[in-house]
Amino acid sequence: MSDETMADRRYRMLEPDRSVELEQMRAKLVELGDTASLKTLGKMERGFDRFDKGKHGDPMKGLLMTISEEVRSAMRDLGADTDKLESARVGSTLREEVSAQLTPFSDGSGLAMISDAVLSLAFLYCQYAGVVTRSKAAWFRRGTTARDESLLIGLLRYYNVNQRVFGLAGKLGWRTSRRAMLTSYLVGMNAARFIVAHELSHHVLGHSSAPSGFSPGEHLPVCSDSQRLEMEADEFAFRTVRRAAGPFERSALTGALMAMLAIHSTEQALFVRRGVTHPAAATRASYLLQQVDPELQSYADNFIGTFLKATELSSDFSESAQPFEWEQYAAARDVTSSHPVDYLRTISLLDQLQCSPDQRLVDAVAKSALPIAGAGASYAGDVRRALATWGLGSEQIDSMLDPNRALTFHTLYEAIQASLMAQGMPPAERIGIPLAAARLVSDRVCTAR
Amino acid sequence: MTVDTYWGQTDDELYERLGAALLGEGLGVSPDDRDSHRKFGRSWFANKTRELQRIVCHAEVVQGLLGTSTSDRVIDGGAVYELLQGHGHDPVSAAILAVLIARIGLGTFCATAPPKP
Repeated sequence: MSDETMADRRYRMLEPDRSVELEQMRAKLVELGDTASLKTLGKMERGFDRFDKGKHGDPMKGLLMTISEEVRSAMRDLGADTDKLESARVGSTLREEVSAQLTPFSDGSGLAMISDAVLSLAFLYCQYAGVVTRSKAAWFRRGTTARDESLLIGLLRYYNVNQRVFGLAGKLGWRTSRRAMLTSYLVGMNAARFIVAHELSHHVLGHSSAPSGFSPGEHLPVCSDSQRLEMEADEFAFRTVRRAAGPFERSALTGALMAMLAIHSTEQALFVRRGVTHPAAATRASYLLQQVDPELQSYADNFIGTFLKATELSSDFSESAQPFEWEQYAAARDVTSSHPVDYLRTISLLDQLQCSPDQRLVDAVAKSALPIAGAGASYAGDVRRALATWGLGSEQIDSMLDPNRALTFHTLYEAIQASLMAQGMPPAERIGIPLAAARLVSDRVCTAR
Repeated sequence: MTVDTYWGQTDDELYERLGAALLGEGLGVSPDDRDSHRKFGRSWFANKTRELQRIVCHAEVVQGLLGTSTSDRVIDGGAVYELLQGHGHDPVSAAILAVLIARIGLGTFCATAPPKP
C-alpha cells in the first residue's frame, strides 16, 4: 500500500464496478424484451470468463491492460523514460461521453482515463474501415461504394442523435464477413493503442496541465501552446502505434486516423461551442500523414476523404442535412440493433425535427400548451430573452452564453427541458418542444452574449 | 473543507462537483462541459453505491446511528465524512458524498446494503 502513487489511489476510487454495469445492462435488455441480445451477452460473458480465467475480471479492463502494456513496451523501445512510464496508470471510466484524459499528480504520477464511449465510437469507425477494406483488391479498384458511405453516415447519425437528445451512446451494429471483422478488429486495436498512447505521451513528454482560468472540465486554456502539446502527443503516439503494430503499418495508420475521426465527429456533432482548442481532425490527420512515407500517404488518400465527408455529413443538423432514415436500417440485413423498430423510428423523427427550417421550429414551439414566446425572440436573435422566457435563471444563461465555456447540445437541450417541465409542460411535449427550442438557440449561442 | 460547505447546494450541483473532484483537471483529447461532470458524478455514485454501502453501513458508528429512533442529518453527514476519509477519499469528495448520503437518509441508504462479509 505504501508504494501506491497518487494516480493509483485516484484510480482505486474511480475504477468502475463492472458487475453493477452488467446487471444494469441485463435489466435494460429485459425491459426491452431483447432476448436475442441477452443470449449474446451471456454467451460473450461465458466466452470471456473461459479466456480470462479470472485474470482481469472484465473485458474492458483486460483490453486496456493488454493495450497499455503493448504501448509501454513500444515506448520503452523508442527511448521513453522507464520511470516515467512506470508511474503512469491507465484505466477506464464509465462515461457516455467520448473522452480521454491524462491527470498529472504532484508526486509525478499520472492517470490516463479512457471512457468506454471513445473506444466504442472509434470501433464503429474501425468496423467501417474493415468493411471498405474487406476485399483489398476490389477496394483499390473501385474505392468505397455509395452504399458503404451512406451506411456509415446513417450509423454515425444514429449515434449522434442519441447523444444530442438522450446523452447516451446508442449504436447500431454492423454484421460483416469474418474477414472484414478481423480487419476491423486489428484496426480497432490500433485505434485503441493510439488513444492510450496519446495520453501516455503527454505523461512521458512531461506535459503538465497548465493553470487554467476555465471552469472545471476545461482541460486546457485556449492558446496555441495547447495545440502544440496535442500535436507532439499525436506524433509520439503514432510512432508508438507503428512500433507496436510491427509489419502492419497500414493498420497502424488507419487506426490512428479512425481514433482522430472519432474525436472530430464528437466535437462537430455534439458540441454547440467548444471551450478548448484542440487542433481540428483534418489538421491533425495531415500532420500525422507528413510523418509517413509516400506509399502510406497514398494508401490513406484512398479513404480519408470518404471518412471525413461521412463525418461532416453525419454532423450536419442544418436544413440541408439528410436525416437518419429508419426504414433503410430496419430493413438492412447487415445492420443489427438491440433497439426495437419503434425506437429507430423515433430517432428518425428527432433527427428530422433538428434539421427543420427555423420557421418550422418556431411554429413547433408555439404549439406548446405552455404560453412560451421564446422561439420568436430566438429567431430574432435575442437568445438571452428566449432562454429567460423558457424559465432559465440568469446565472444559468450566463453560463450558457459564456464564450469560454464548452457547451454540448445535450446540455442546452436538457436545461431547456428541465426548465419547461418545472413550469408544467405536459409530459407529451417533453421531448419535441425542448428539442425544437434547443435547436433554434444552438445556432445563435456562439455569437450571443 | 468540511461537510458544512455543501449543505446549501442542490443535488445537481453536488454531482457536478463530485464529477469534477473525481476526474480532476488534465490534458485530454476531447472537450468537456459542466454537464458531463454532473452526469459522471451521478453514474459514478450509482455504480459505486454497493461499495459505499460496504464502507458506511457496517461501520460501528453508523450501526449506532441506525439504532436510534431519531435521525440528525448533520450528525449522519459528519459520521459518513469521517468514514470515507478513512477509506482514502479526499476531503472534497468525502464531504460531497457525506451530504448526498445524509440527504438520502442513512436508513434508506443502508436498507439495500450487501450483507457484512
